[in-house]
Amino acid sequence: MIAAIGLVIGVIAGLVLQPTVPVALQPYLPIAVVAALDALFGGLRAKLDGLFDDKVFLVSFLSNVVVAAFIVFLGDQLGVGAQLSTAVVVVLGIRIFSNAAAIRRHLFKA
Amino acid sequence: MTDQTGERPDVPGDEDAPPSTPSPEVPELDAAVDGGPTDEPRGPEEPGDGADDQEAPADDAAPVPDASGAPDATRDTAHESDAPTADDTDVPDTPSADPEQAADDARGAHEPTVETTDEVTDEADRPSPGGGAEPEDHAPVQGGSSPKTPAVPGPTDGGRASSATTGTTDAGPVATEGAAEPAAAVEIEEPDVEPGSAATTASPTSGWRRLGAALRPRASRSQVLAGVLCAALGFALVVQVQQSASDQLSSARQEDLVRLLDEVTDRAQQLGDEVSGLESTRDELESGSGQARSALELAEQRAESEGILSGRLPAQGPGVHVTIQDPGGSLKASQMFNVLEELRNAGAEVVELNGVRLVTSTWFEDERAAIVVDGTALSSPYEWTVIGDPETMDRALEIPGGALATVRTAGAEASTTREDEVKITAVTPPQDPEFAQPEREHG
Repeated sequence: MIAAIGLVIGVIAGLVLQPTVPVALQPYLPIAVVAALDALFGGLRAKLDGLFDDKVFLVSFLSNVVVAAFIVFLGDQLGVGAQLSTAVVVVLGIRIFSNAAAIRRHLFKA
Repeated sequence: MTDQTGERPDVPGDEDAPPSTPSPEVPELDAAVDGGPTDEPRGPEEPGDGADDQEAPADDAAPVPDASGAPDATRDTAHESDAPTADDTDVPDTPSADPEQAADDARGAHEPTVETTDEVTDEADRPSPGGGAEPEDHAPVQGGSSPKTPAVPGPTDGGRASSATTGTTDAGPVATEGAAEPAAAVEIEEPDVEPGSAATTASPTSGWRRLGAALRPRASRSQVLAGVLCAALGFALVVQVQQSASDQLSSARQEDLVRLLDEVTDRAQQLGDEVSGLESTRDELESGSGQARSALELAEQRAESEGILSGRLPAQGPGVHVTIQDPGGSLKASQMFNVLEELRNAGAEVVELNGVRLVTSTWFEDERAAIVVDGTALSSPYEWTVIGDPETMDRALEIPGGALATVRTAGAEASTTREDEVKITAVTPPQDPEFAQPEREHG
C-alpha cells in the first residue's frame, strides 16, 4: 500500500514539478525507468512468493538501474549505444514479462 | 491419468473395482486437504531464485521431484518438454504426485464421466457401501480415511489394462482417450474444467492473501523502502514521458541527431536549388512579358503616329486656319496644290481642306467650275485646317511671291489665323500598297 502510495506521489510530483532532464542523463533515463519497472515487478512477484526482502529489493532496484544505464553508457562510448539500449530494453522486457507471468499465476492460477 | 483410466472401467467391470476406485480419489482429497502440495513447491522455488530478483521460475521448480505444485511453475515454460517427463517420474515415485495426477485426470475427464458414474455407483454401492464406492464427486470428502499410497500403483496398472479391454462401456472411450493424451494436454484442461479442485482451492487464497497483506499499510521498513523506490520510479517515469512527449529531439541520441541534421541539410539544399530555379524562371517570364509589353507600347505608339500621318486617325494640336475666298472661281488646282506644298514645306503634319483629309496620295483636278480633291468637288470658300508650327507655316504662306501671294494675284482673298488648338476629324482610309512590300531584312 505504501508502495502504491509512493508510486502515486512520485507521479504527482513529476506532473507538478515538471523538471527538465539534464542533457547528460537524457539517454539513460528511459533505460533506467525500464530497469526500475523490472525491479518493481520482481519485487511484486517476490512479495507474492512470500520471500520479499527489502534489502534485496533495494539492491536489485538500484543495481538494475545503474547497470542498465551503465550498459547504455558503455554502448555510447563504443558507438553502439542505440543497438545496446535496444538489447537492454529487450532483455528487461522479457524479464518483466516473465515476472508478470509469475504474478499472474499466483493471482489467477492461469 | 493412469489412475483415472483404471478407475472408471474397473467399476462396472467387477467387484474389485470399489477398492480400486477410492484409492485414486484419495490422493485427490489429499491434494485438496493439504493445500500444501501447491504451496510446497514454492518453498524450494523461493529461496533459489525468488529471493534474488526473481529469475526464471522453471529452472528451480522442474528438478524438484515431489513438487505436485510444480506444474504451476513449469506450466508455461515446460509445457512441451518438461511436463510429461515430470509426470512419468512423479507417478511411481511419490504418492503426493499421484494425487495431483489423479486430480488432473479426474478434472480432465470429469464431465464425460459424470454420466457413467451414475450407472457405475449403482453397482459399486452394493459391494462397498462406503464412501469409496462413489467414484469421483464425493471422493474428496470421504476418501481421507481410505488408504492412500499403496493402492495407487496397483490399480493403476490394472486399470490401464482393463481400460483397454473394457472399451465397450460408456467410460471406456473417455478413459482410453485420457490415457492416450499426454500430460501436457491434461494440464491445460486443468484450470478450465474444475477450478475448485484440490490444487486450485488452496493457493489462490494464499496469492490474494499475500497481495492483500502487501497492500495493508504498515510502516515497516520494507514498506517504506518500497514506497520510496516506487515514488522514485513514478517520478522518473512521468518525467521521461513528459520529456519524450514534449521534445522529441532532446532525448534523441547523437547519431540520430547527426543523421537528422544531414537529412535536413540535404532537404534544405534541394529546396534552395528549387527556389533558385523557380526564381530564374520567374525572371525570364517577367522580362519576357516586359519586352512584349514594351514592344506592344512601341507598336501602339507607331500605329498612332503613322495613323496620324497616313490620315487614318483624327488629330489635334497647334496650327493655322487658312481661308481663301474665291467667289469668281478664278483659282486653279495648281494654285491650291502650291498652297499644300508650301504647307508641307513649312512642316505641316496634318492637313484638311473643306472636310477632306489631305495625305500623300491626295490629288487636285480642275473641273469646269470647281476644284476636285480626291474625287470631291470643292467650292469657295476654301477652308484649310493645318496642324504644325503655326508661326513657321504662317510665315511660309505669306512669303512674297509665295503660295498665298499667287492666290491673291489670281483674284482671290486669303487670310491666315494662328490657332493654339485645332482639331482635324476628317479621316481617310489607308490603302494597302498593291506593289510595295516591306523589306524583310528588318523583320
